[in-house]
Amino acid sequence: MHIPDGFIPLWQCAIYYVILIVALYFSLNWARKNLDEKMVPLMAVLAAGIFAIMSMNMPIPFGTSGHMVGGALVAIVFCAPEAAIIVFTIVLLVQGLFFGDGGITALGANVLNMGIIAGVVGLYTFKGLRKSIGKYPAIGVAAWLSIFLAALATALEMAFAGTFPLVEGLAMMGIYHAFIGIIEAVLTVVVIYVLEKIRPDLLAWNRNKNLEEIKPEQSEVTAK
Amino acid sequence: MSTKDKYFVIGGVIICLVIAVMSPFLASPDPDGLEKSAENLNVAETEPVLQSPFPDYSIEGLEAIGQIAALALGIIITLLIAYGVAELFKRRRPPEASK
Repeated sequence: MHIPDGFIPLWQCAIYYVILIVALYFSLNWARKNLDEKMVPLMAVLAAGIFAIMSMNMPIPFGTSGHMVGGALVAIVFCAPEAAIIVFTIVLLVQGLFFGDGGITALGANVLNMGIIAGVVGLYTFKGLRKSIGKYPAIGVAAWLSIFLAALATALEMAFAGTFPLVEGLAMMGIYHAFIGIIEAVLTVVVIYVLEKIRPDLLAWNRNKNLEEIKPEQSEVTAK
Repeated sequence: MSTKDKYFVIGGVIICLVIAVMSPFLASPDPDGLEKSAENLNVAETEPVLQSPFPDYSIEGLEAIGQIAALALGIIITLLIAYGVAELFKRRRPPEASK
């Protein structure tokens, strides 16, 4: 879903760049407060892994293909969408500058879709669902929804840019990415499962109980 | 970096490089969701603003080997930049908190 140069008029690109700068400001502040020494190699490997997996397009119906994005993955692993924003700014910058994948003028919009929207949707869907449907199903649904909503956001941006008609754009992006989301869901579950097996200490929910695993209701009840 | 973290980075890079070696052969050449939508809606292809050194993850004149090399280069560049950024912006504990 990398938007190339020329799909968005420059004045709109400027709006997305402003969003990117504001998001980066908050994300780097988050890093200064929360990104400890141990997370540095994790962030580097996830960024490299996302760069790599984005080259592996898998076929979906309609003569179309799609690849894993990983916005939900990074946000869930770090329990912070800010981490996804940092990682995607780096990955998309490298892809745009060196490999012509995703326009440099569209960098702001691409980080908005694949980093901010996918990260926020992924993390909060996961947090909202994990108690009711379990950890791994919640990860799968969160990853699927992160791609689907990021694609719809891309369609809205394309309509705002005057490049795609609104309804057809939403319908096509929605249908294709409903399939691509399945790839995202499977791979996100696999990567987190493997991390949980080999390095559980790297997952944020095992480190600082960001998600208040058992606490909320039970501890309130006992306190009263 | 602890030994455990070194193994983690080495293992991660190996997996990335395995993907880089496989994807020129395995990756689907079909357009992705956005490209396909643009095609269906008759949106003309556009030219990049900047001429990138390795367009479409390829090196001119080299086939699969060039793609693998371009991907491997991208993986290493991304790894190093992300490592550098994370190292630069990581939390620095005040000295009294570390003991």
